[in-house]
Amino acid sequence: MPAIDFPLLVCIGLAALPAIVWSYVFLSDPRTNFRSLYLKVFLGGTLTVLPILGMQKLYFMIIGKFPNLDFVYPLKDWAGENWWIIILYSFVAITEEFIKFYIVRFSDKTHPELITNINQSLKFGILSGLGFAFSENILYFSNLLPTYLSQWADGGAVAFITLVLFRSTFTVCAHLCFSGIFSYYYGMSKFSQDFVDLKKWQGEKIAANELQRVKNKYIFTGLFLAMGLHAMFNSILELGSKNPPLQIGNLSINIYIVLVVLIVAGMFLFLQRLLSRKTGNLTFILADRHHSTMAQKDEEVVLELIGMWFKEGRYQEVEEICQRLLKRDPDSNVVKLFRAKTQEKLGKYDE
Amino acid sequence: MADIKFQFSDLLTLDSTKIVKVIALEGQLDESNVDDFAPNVYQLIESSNPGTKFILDIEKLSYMNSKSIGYISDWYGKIAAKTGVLIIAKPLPNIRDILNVVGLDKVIPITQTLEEAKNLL
Repeated sequence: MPAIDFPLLVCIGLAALPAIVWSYVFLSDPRTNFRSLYLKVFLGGTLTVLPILGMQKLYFMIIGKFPNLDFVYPLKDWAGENWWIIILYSFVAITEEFIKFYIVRFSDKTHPELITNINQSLKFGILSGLGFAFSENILYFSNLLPTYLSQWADGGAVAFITLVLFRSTFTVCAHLCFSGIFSYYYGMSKFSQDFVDLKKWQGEKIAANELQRVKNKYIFTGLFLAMGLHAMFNSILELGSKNPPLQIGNLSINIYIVLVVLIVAGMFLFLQRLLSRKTGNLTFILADRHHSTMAQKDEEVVLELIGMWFKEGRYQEVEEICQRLLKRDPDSNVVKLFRAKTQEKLGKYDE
Repeated sequence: MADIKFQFSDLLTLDSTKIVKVIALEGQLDESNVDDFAPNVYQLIESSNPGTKFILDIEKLSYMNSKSIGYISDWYGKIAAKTGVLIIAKPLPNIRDILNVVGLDKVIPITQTLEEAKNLL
């Protein structure tokens, strides 16, 4: 029987703790369905460290055999240490976000019926990010624990606890924010047709390729934001560990850590705001849309009017028309969107 | 361009103090003609005495677009400001359906016959 690796078990336990707490913070809503699927997405997220590890292993294997092929360390001489850190850690961040994005996209493509609203997409992303952070923490903790254990009484314990606390709070929170951001926009891209319809009924000109353009816009916005913020987070954190803290009198301030905390806090608030938006909570109907008790031509007249009055700022009237129209056509995504937008305009966020 | 015919007439009532104007529409009101037609009604409202009552007879109107509904809502506002009354009479079922969903029936009485409309005045 193989011996139990207790340090590894401790590392897994320490990494699981923030994953459980953060899942509770974001997914404790009693209306949350699909718990088993969330678990699968989380597990999918835990596997996303593998490609990065694989790339690392492959790199070291190749340069071990063919040192002349090494392009990473020569880059350091060419760009200087700080820029080298920025390039290297940005590359890692971009790759990680792309893989996490792919997990959410893959889950959605295989089960398109499961993401029926934008917030659900956001939750999928958060879960994939948590899964990733969970695996990454196990690797971090298990790599560093032997070193800290060897100097446990001489500051090793404090250093390890500090590391665990920092990674469990800021790093995990940062990871779920990055994924949350791209997956929110992924959700928007999934329901692009309804956003295009919303524009159409407000009398805006719709180009022939508008749908694809809107889809791409949302996907690239989400990925660009997530990758950019992640690259910034990684680079600043690494620069902070390489550069001395700022001295103001007797006070020693690590400006890099302050910046990282500000980035994470900003992203957290941004996500909370996105989660509270009315449009995010709408359940979209993905199948055949027209189940109305009103003739399509007549409904289009009403939709035109809704669009017109929405543009004129007659929100109370639009809200009332939407209510009546939804009784006649409960599956109309565009009416739901108009209603949500109107409620946001009327300041009804929490209903 | 869709065809729209309109006729403005005064309705005779037993009570000679009541001034009732009937706006009868025939055809379709859509993007191609509604903006040209609407000023005629505005002119009629402006030239009418305060307290004038209006019946919008749309029995022969087979289609109206969103802008037309917007205009009706606006005409109602202008008539009410002059202490007048507006009644929509004899809409086809699909148009009545639209007016109900839009909620215009909550502010403007809608009747199925001209007689009903007269009785409401």
